[in-house]
Amino acid sequence: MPRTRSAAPLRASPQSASASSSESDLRPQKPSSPTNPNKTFILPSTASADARFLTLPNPQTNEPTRYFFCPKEGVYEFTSITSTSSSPRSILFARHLTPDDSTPSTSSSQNDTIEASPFQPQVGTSTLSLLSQNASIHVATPLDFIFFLIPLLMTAKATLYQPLDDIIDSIQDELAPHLRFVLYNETFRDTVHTRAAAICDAVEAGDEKLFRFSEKKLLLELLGKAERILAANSGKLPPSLEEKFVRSALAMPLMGLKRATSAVKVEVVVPNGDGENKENEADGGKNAEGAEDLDLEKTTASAATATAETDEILPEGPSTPDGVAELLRISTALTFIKESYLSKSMGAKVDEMLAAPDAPKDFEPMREHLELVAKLRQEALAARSLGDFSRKRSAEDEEAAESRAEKKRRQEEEEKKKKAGESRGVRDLKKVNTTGMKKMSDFFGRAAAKKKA
Amino acid sequence: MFAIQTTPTSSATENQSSMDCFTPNILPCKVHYDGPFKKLDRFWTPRPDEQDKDVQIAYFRGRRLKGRRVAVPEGYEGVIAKSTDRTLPRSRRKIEAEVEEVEPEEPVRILEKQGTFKEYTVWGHELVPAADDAFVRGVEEWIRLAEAMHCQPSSEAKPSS
Repeated sequence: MPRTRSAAPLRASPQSASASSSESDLRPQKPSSPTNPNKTFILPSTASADARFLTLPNPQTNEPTRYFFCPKEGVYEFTSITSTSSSPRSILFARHLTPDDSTPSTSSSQNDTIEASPFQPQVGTSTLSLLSQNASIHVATPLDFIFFLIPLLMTAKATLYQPLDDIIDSIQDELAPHLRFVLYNETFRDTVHTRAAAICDAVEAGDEKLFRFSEKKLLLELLGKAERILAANSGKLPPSLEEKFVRSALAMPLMGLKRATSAVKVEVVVPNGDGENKENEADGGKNAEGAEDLDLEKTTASAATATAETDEILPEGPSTPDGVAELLRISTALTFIKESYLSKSMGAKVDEMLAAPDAPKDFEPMREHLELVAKLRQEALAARSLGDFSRKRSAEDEEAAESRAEKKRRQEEEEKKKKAGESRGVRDLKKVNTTGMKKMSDFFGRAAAKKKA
Repeated sequence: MFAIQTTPTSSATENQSSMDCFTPNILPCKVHYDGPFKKLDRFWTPRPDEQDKDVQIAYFRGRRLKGRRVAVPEGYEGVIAKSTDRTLPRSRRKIEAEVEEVEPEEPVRILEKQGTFKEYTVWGHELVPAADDAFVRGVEEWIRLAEAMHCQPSSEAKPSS
C-alpha cells in the first residue's frame, strides 16, 4: 500500500528507488500501447500448439486473406464484428473475480505471493486491466478445405486421373508459400485427401488413389451442405436469413387472404347500394338522377374488383404449402455458399447444372411459384390502381371544378393586373401632360416679370 | 508471415493462470486509449438489476448502462493477444526444414496471449442492447451457420475414410 501511495504522485517518485522503477516500468507501456494494441479473438478451444495464423489466397477472390490453421482441426476463416461510426464502442476488459467470500482471502494471499516474488513486472501486470479503443472481435469459424482445393484442381486442368501429390507438384510453382505449408503438412495430409475425395472421381491403382475433378460431385456436396444448414436449424435458415429471404418472398399469400375478407365485405355493401338506388328513385329529380349514376358506377367497380379477387384467390391456396418454402430455403443457402466461397465462373457452372433438367434437385416448382407470386403482386397493384382510379375520377371531377374556379380567379386577377398596368401607363401620360402645363406656367411667369419691371 | 500464439515463457502457476481470466465489457462509447490501466474496481462495479436478474447495471462517467451477457459458444474460447517482435527458436526451424526440405523458411512471429474469456457483456446507454445487435447475435448465429456449412458429420466422415 505505501508503495502505491508513493507511486501515485509524480513528485514523490524521485524520493524512492522502487517508486521510480515502477514509474519507469509504467511510462514506456503507455506510449507503446497505441502502436501495438491488443486484438480480441474467438478461437477454437481445441486448437493445438502448432496452430498458425496464415495468409492464404481467398477461394472466391484469390486475394491474400488471413486464416487460422491447425493441423488437427483444419482451416478457419475470420469474421470481424466491429463497431460502426454511427455507434462507436470500446472494450473494457475487467479481470474475472468471483464474488465469493473465500476468494478475497485467496486474492490477498495471491497478492502477497506476487509481492514476495522477485519479478516486479509480474506484480504490475497482475493488477492491470485492459482497454481496447476499437471494439472488434475476430471470430474464427471453420472453413471446408474443399474451397481451397477447387481453384487448385481447376488450375491443374487435369483431364486424366492423377495422384493428388502429382497434381499438387505440377502447380507447386504457382502456390502461395503459406498454402504450400498447409498442403505439405504431414498431420493435415489425410484431411486434404479426404476432402479431395469428396469433389473428385477416385480410382484405385495399386496402393495409390487417382483423382480427377468432378463438377457433379461438387454439386452434390454443395447440396448436402445446404441441407445440413437446414438440418442444423430444425428445417429452417438462421433467424435473420429466414426473415429476410423466405418470409418476405412468400408473404404474398397472406395478403391474398386479406383481400378475400375484403371481397366478402364488398359483397355485403352491394345490397345497401341497391337500397340507396331505390330511395333515390322514390325521390326523383335531377339530383336523384346524378346520385343514381354515381351509385351504378360504384356497384360496377366493386363487382369488377370482387370478380378479380375471386379469380385471384383460387390459384393461391393449393400451391403455397407443397414444399416450395423448403426449396426456397435450400436455394438461398446454395446462393450464399456460392457467392461466398466459389469464384464467379464456378458459380455460373453450378447455376447451369442446377438449371439443367437432369439436376439432382428440381427447383422448377419454386420458380413457378415465385413467378406466380410476382404476377399476383402485379395484379394486386393493378387492383389497387383500379380502386384508386375510381376514387381519382370523383377526385378529378372535384379537382376539375376547383381548377376551373382557380382558372377563373387567375383570369380575373390577370385582368386586374392589366388594368393596373394600364392605369400606370395613363398615370405616366398624365405626368407628361403636367410637365407641358408647367412649361405654360413658365411663360406666364416671364410675362409677369416683364410687366413688373 | 506465420504467427503462433503462445503463453508467456515465465512459469505460470495455477493462480496466475486463473488471474488471466477476463470479462470483456463492450461499452456504448469510445475511449481514446489502448493499453493497461490500474484500479478498475474503484469506478467499475457492475451489479445485477433488481427487476430483471439477466440484466446488469453499471455506471461509467456518471451515465447509467444496462448490459446483456453473451456466452462464447461451446467449443470456442476468447483470446486477447498482442503481437510481438519475438520469433520461435531455431531448433523448430531445423526440424521443419528437415521435414519440408525448404531452406529459406519464413520466421514465425509470436502473438503473446494476454488473457482468455468465456463470456462477455454488451452494454447500452439506459437501454438493454437489442437482441439483434451485432455483438449479441452475430457471434453465435454465425458460428452455428459456419459449422453447419463446413463441418462434416461423423456419419459422413466414417464412410469417406
